[in-house]
Amino acid sequence: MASALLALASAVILHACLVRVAGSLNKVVAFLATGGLVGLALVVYEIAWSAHTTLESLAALAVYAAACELYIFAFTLVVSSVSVAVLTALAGGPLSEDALEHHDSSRAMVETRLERLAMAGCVDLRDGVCLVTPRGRALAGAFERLRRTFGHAP
Amino acid sequence: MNSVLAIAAIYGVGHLLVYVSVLRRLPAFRRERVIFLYHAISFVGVAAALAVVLSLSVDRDVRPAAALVLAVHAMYSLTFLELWSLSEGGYSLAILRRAASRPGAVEVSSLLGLETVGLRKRSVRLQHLADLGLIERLGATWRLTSRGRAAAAAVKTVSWLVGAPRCG
Repeated sequence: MASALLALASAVILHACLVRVAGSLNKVVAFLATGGLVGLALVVYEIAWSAHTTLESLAALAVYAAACELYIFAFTLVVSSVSVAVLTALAGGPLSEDALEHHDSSRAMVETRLERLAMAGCVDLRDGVCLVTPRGRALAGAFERLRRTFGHAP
Repeated sequence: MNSVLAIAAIYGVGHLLVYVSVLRRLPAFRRERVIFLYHAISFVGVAAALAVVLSLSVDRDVRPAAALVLAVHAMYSLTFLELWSLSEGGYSLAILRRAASRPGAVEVSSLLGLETVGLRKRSVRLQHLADLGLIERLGATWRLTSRGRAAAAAVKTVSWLVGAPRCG
């Protein structure tokens, strides 16, 4: 398991460097790149150099993959979660609900999401209008199917 | 050792099938807390069962098998909970749904009306955070508990690592 944890630490450090060098790069894409590269190195190590059995190597790779997914979950949560926004706002001291709204306005959140959707190629923003691209329509359709599968309210 | 992996695989498929065929139709399983507990209790239960097997077995392959099973369970549960949560709703999905429901282009100003989603989410989240013991009400204001301060410090560390100043 030590090799998996060392690989995770390497992926996190490489990712931290990459997002600082290429600031405009999507953070998830950046982690998929660094995490994938380190994962490949881990596969080579487990096959060529380690004295692990096949099962031990598979376990190390699975632990590494799970840890990477957990890290992606953690940093996407930090960047976009409403709950995390509340926590960080309150880290500066007690606030009323009105002050919380002022600190991190919902309108700004919508604008940020629109920009991110545009960067992901899901919408086109031009002259104050928003046009959903085919990719955006496919994504919306996929999530509609998921909503029905999970039984969420329409 | 092979029997550990086989039993774990059957259990994992069963866990998903029970949800798909029965539980997703129950109103209780449309609540975030219940769906989280369905996975968290399963993970803890599997970990406890594997700990018992580890303590009783002399087979040296049981340990990596246990790690493999727990890692696969973690990936399955994380993926499931993320998809469940994403499809439940949020700004991005609400924007896409509203814009995609109309044939042509949509005025951005009409999408900005979706800020009410955030207001609703914020009031629900404040209560969730209070239920988790991370924040508490102090008169007309909210403040962090000691557990909340630890969580906020962890958030800052992750933010720093990914070079992200907190944003919405």
